[in-house]
Amino acid sequence: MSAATLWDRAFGAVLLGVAGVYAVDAWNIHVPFQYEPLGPTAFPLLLAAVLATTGVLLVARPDPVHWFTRRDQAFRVAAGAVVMGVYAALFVPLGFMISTALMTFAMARLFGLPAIKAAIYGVVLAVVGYFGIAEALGLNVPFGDIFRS
Amino acid sequence: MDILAGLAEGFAVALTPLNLGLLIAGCFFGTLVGALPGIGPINGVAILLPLAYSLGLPAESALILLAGVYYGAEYGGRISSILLNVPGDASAVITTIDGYPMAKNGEAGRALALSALASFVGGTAALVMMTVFAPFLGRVAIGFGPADYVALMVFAFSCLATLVGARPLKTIIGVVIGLMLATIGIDSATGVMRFTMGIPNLFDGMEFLIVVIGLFAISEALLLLESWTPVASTIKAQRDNVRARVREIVGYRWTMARSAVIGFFVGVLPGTGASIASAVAYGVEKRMAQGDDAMFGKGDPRGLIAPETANNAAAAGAMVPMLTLGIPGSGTTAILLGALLLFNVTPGPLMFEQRPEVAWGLIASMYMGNIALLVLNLPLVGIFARLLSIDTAYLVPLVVMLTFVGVFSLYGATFDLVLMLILGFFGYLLRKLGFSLAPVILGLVLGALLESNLRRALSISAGDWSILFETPAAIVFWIAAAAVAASPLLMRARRRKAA
Repeated sequence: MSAATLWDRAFGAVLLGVAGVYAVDAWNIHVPFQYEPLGPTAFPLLLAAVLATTGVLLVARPDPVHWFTRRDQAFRVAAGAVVMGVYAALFVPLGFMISTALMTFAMARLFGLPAIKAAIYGVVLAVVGYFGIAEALGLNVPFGDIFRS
Repeated sequence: MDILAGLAEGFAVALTPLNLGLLIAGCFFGTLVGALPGIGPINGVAILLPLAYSLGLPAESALILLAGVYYGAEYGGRISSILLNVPGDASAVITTIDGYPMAKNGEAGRALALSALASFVGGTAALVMMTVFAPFLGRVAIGFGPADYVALMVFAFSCLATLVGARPLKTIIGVVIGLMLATIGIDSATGVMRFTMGIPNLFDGMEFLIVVIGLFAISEALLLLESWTPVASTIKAQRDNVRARVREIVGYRWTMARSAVIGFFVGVLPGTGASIASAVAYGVEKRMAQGDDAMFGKGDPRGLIAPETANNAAAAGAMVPMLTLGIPGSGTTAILLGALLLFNVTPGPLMFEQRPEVAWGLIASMYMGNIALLVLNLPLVGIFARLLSIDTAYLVPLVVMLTFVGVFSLYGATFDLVLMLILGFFGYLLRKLGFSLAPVILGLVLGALLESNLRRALSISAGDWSILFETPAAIVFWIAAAAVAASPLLMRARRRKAA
């Protein structure tokens, strides 16, 4: 068993677990009254059965998976995920403009843009984006809680 | 309704200033997302969908815009295939085989012009076929009962599993994941909650838009982060003598005719799409040219024209089952179907009667869209070529911002942003493990339909499962599903025999 196939095996095992939890959850659905023979549990149970079967097959016959060839790739993906997570957390409290400027700066830096250019782009995108989206298109974007108090 | 009367009504809808503007915007944006490597039609449609929804556009206008992005991308994909040897989207992979060598031989302008014309011919020919076949197919499908739909969907999944992705097993897992996501929320038949984990935001079910944007756009951003390398590319835009190219392409009329028919019918088949159509058309053209095929792979115009005709024809073909049966044939048409459902339009045999402004308006707009795309892609091709050199550093923050705005503007909930990111990380994981995401979306879109038809069928038969195999249509679909599923095994056996 090589390390490369371990990922598929692990994923197959997770699918098997999900199928189990899902099936138990489906089994416990309580229906007060029902006019049809199948009801809301039969289809999910069928899906759980298929998922469990395919999960077992994946564990038995996995494909090799290669994650990264270079270490900086892993860093950039992880950093990008963190940037987006922080963006989601700050979106409402700081408002669209500040959070977007920060996200844009960080994201552009990850793609190798020089700091000054990234900062300018962040501000431009935040301001143009806000007025384009909130004013011109009239969509609901947060102005920012911190400006309200 | 008479086809011509329907078309006339469609043009009346499509020619209103709003719809015309949206059509041109959609075609422009589509060419752009098609041309930019990494952002394909699925992402383009996914990013625009919540914006179109939040803007409160009428259903037909939103669909005209989104469909413009969808088939516009088939035009755009060839630009980076030819100029950079990097396919702009999945269906332009084959275009690199002969397109890039032509560009290397100093014929980039000729290749771009020929492929634009081929795209136009393929798209328009398929539209004519669509105009004729779609209402016909709709009339056939009007007699379908729930059991027929169950069998049809199984057939669609069977095609998908056999033809898409590296391994059927992984495609099936993807479909099941999508179907399971679809079961979350209130069960419409009984009103009970299912799999909501007590989270109020999930009581109405997984919001389709959030799943689509998370799975595709967010995971794509992560993939772009992964694959980024600090290399600057230089691209020369080239225009060409259009009139000479029009004369030249007439000489390839049979290549285009064959490829358009192949593309259309491959596109109509559920589960298959533009990528497979372009590969099949290329293979057929190469075989037809036997004895005269030395230039294939080295810059033969036929090797460029065939896939470009076919992938545009397939894009239109894939709309046919989506519109007439409510069963999408590909990932992007699955999103278009989801868009229709969001706008309370139920695609299916009755749509041509009940919502003719949507069905015929869309078809009419596609005729005009192909003309708009020809204009965008012949004289204005230089703009797109120049846009190709946009640094990803500018592109990705813009995409991320648009996804956040799109998802947030739905309900104004941070929970949705977090859900989108979780799904995005999950989508990235799936793609790294060799899964395609299109089956997941297809499962998600068809989940409710499959379950409700199954339950309805068994209600009719009072729980007797044999009702699924009783009507002629259902039997045909089951046999077809089994044949498709068995075909790889048969092929392998034949190859072993031959060896």
